[in-house]
Amino acid sequence: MSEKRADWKVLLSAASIPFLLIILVNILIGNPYFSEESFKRFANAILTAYIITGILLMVNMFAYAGSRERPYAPIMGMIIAVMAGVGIGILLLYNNDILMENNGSFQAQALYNIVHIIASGFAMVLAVLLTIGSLFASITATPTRFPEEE
Amino acid sequence: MEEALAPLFFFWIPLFLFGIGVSLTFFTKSSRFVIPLIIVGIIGLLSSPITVPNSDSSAVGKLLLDLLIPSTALLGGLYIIIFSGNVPVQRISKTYRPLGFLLSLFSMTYLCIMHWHSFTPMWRGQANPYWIIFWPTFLLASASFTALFSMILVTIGRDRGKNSIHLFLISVFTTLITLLAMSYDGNITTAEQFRDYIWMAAADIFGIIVGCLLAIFAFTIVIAVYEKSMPEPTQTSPPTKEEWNHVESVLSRHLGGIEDE
Repeated sequence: MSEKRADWKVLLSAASIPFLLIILVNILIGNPYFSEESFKRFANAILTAYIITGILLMVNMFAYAGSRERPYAPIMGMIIAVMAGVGIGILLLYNNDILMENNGSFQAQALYNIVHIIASGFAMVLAVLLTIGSLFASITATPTRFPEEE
Repeated sequence: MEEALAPLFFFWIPLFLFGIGVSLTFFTKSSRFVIPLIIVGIIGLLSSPITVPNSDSSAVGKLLLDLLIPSTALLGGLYIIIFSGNVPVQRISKTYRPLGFLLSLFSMTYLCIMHWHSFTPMWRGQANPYWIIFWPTFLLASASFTALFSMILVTIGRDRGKNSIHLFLISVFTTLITLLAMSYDGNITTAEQFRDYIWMAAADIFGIIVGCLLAIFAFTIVIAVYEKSMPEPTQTSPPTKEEWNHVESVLSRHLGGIEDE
């Protein structure tokens, strides 16, 4: 029996179609520029997501250490990886022109990044839940293929 | 001084507790500490517009509070639809299925009403600044994720064409809402503002995905490097003649027997 395999190019194209359609309409309507503000948002989103996910994974590293007689090396490695992200963030934010959005100071921008990611992260989590929920809603609506166990 | 510390106690510490609670779910099976931490964090965040109204960060707490009804209706509706279908466990009566559809439809309609008609999330007399971040990001992400999963169903699943079409239709539906929001002014926000924020939402979605992937990549590298640095496990000597005899006697005691009739 041959197993079906996912072609990543096809899957990524499928995910991009609505995205590209919306962006195309946006360009046609008259917003043709990926502005400097959008680039700053992109860079801030990368840094904030990297640091927050890094911290979550660093906490998770304690579970890994628990199964390996508690070595310090991987925990220190993850701390260094997160600190590198924080360092790059501080460096770029102190250079006002690169990442600073409409905020007065470095601290204000850093706090804004965290609050902003709550709003956009919540939107993405809700979108993921809508997708997975709709997927299972559709699957469970079709008759089961296996005899039910009573 | 007290005013400066209030956001710390009523916004940032609850947010920190929520983050710790979520992190702890990764490696503890006991929910005795985790659930209270998450609940305290959520309550603190949602009550921040009342406890620290002067802090700009509380606007996101107000947004989450305003989105409580549609998001709960959406998730509750989907839960009812899923568990009133063909599932072997915790089945809900099929009579509740229309309620699930109604709740899901209500939530999407409620979100559209929030944009075009009334109930638009407000903050200090203006549209909540985080609403204009949430709404395009949610629409853009929903359109893309449903399209992605629709294609996954076709390429990986077997006889899942019908399910794939369902997801594709949701993708088309959310894309249409986005295009309408780009063309027609909302209750408080204009179509032009929405179009500007489409770029920001695209930047946010790509940025968050890339940032998360980079962190996971760093995590993988750290583990791989550590595992590579571990010494090879010590080789044990092969069993002696006596040990083989012992194994043979144990095996002969446990194998054999009478065949079933």
